[in-house]
Amino acid sequence: MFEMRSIVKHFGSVKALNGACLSVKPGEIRALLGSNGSGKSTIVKIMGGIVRANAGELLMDGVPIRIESAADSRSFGFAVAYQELSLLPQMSVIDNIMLGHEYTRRGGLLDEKRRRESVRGLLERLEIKCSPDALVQNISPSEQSMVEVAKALSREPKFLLLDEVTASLHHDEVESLFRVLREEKAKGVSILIVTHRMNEIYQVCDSATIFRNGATAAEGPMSRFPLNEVIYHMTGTRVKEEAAAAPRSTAKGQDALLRVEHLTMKPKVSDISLHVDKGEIVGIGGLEGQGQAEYMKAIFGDLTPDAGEMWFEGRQLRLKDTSQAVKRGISYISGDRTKESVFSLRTIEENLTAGDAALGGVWSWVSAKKIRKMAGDAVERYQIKIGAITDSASSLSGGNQQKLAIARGIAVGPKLLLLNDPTKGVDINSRNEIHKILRDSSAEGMGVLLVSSDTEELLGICSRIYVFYEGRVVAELSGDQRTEENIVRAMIGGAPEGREEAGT
Amino acid sequence: MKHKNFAGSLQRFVQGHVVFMAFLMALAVFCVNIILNPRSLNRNAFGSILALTSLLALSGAGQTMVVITGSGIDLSAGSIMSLTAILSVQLMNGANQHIGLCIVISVALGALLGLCNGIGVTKIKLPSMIITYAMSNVITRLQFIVTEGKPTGSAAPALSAALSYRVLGLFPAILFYCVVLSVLLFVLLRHMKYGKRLYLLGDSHSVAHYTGIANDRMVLLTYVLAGILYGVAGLIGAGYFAYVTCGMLDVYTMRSIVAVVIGGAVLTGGKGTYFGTIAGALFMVVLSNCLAVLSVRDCVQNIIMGLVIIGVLTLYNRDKSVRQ
Repeated sequence: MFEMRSIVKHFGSVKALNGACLSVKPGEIRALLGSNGSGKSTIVKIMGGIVRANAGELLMDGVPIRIESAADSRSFGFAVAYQELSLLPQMSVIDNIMLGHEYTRRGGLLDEKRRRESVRGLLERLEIKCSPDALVQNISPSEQSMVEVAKALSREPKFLLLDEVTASLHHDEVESLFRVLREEKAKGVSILIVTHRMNEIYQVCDSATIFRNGATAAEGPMSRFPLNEVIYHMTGTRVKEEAAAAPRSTAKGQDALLRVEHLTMKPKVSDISLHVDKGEIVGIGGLEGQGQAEYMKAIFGDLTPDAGEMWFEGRQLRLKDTSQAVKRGISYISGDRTKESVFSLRTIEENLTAGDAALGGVWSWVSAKKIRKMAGDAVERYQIKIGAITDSASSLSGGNQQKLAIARGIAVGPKLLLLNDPTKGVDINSRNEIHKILRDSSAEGMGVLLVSSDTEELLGICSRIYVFYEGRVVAELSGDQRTEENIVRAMIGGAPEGREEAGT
Repeated sequence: MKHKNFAGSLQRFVQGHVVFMAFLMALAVFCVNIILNPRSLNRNAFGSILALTSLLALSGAGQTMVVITGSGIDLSAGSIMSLTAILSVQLMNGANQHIGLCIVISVALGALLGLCNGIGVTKIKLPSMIITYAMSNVITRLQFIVTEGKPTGSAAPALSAALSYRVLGLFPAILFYCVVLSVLLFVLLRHMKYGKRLYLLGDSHSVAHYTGIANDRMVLLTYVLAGILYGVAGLIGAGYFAYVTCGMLDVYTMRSIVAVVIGGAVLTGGKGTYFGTIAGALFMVVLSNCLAVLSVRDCVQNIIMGLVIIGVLTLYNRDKSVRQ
């Protein structure tokens, strides 16, 4: 049994953990729940030896221990699959899994045969279909997550920690992962899962620990925590029985804001047409990697399509660069924080006003006062949890960084907002707030095109949903056709019931 | 444990106040200098420290901007300065009539060479170290071709006078050009969209790209501006020293890079200020002045400079906190 007591950790002025407690027993699958910024990732990193606690006790079977490095953590039997993945993109799957504990023969030479056998066994067990020799950068995001899990499992840990690894997994991948977790549990392994997908928790977890603001808010067997109870402990407030407002189209007739015709970009996108009206939130669904990201980037002028035409506000849209898109009133925000949405060295203020900085003449004057006010307003309006506005953006938790990015996109008042899986890894509360922001902005006439891998999100806010499958639209769902079953069926390539030709 | 905490908090303090620390270190070295050799406390020495700091700070202006872009360092800084210095001196040839023309040529030539660097970095996609190093070789050889290795002429007396005149017998006039430039750069980097974009794209080129900043145009513009600043710094150097030899100002490439780094800029981009560079320049000039006053031999001087710089940068070394 492993126990953590009264753990405290701060990053600069932000307190990530403030007296958190957590324990796992052998043969137990425990869920670690909490809003973004409640300290879940931090406590996992403390166990992994990546972050050191400022105060608190770690006890292994009642004996105090210290974890000062990743090597310490491994020697105590911990293995972690990280949310942001610890894989080296330019190395093969087999090299990644075996990295740091390769089987060797005499003289330190690699025992290629044993390596291969052991990795092949793992891949089969987790039903990962990629080749062991494929480079990690060439396999799909969901396969990468599974390889991350395989890498952790290859250490034959006593404690397996999974930090939001299911976020980008497909349904059947989740199934095989859970089967393996149950097998490991039967062997007596302790497993800790961090996730935002509530339905998964009820499927596999025996018990739960819920964090709120860096401290343990509740803890106990899963049966004690129905969904309402979980949300209560996460937020500290009871959920009002507020029916999710059915998305209504505020579109006004035929004034299409964006019309894309026969856009083709080999090999990812083939012949996709769609349109977004003013004040409309249009969704793009589908499994990850079906060409959604490329499609969005082509609209934003980042990628050049092979064929097809785009019309924006009645005028043809031919973009050479993203800066031209922003000038025309198109903003793009993605869920990929490090590569596409957050300036981590710069301050919160600079992040919030980056969109403004990108517009206008190079030599134009920037008023410090105006900037400060703009940033302050955004922090308040979007309830971003910050230390000081001049702290660097990296001091924020993942969910708050994401809110920061979205606030930046909306702050410049775009006519069309392109969102590429913006709420990936964002907790329910922040997600609801982000949805409200989007609804409010669309009511004011902004068009939104939203790519999401989350079916619930699409149903919650989109009046029309296109489903992508292998670079094509397999369904355009609106009105009564917008059902979970139809989306899921289309996601795996099946046509919806009451079939209607897409792209009309 | 306590000791460790003290070292930790010292490092945190140093990292939080890099510019202030650079000034403080310069002051400390200056005090040591005076204690070891009280005679060095005179108007003349003080004035020459200010003048040399100003010249180094002028040459560090362009370098600061290039480093902030995160596209690398500019190894052609000193050679551009040498080239415009040599051409100016040859053209002026000890008379005042061509000063105006020299200013135009220095600016235009600096802009052109900066443009070449910028095109190499943004269009041809060469690493900046490679293209600017190649450019600096070309520029240095050009000086030999133009002058046949024997530069002639001297700076216009009016220009030299305007630079080396000592206000109140203490402050060299070159200091005022440096002050004017630092005000201009402060406005440019802090209060214009140019500066805002520069810091953003220096932090992350890809995030800046998705925010709608035209990275390539910004980087190109930065190299051109840097080229102009080097060109002008070369002209000022010519005026200050009055006589110039081929490649005489080449040393300013490395010195300007070190001044920028001591001033708190990060070579991967996105961080750094011009005040930091000025502080770094002051530290370097005071240190080398101190070593010269102690009549340490040249090679030993270089060794000590190197060790001190490594020491300073070790103190600065940023321990990034891990989060998300």
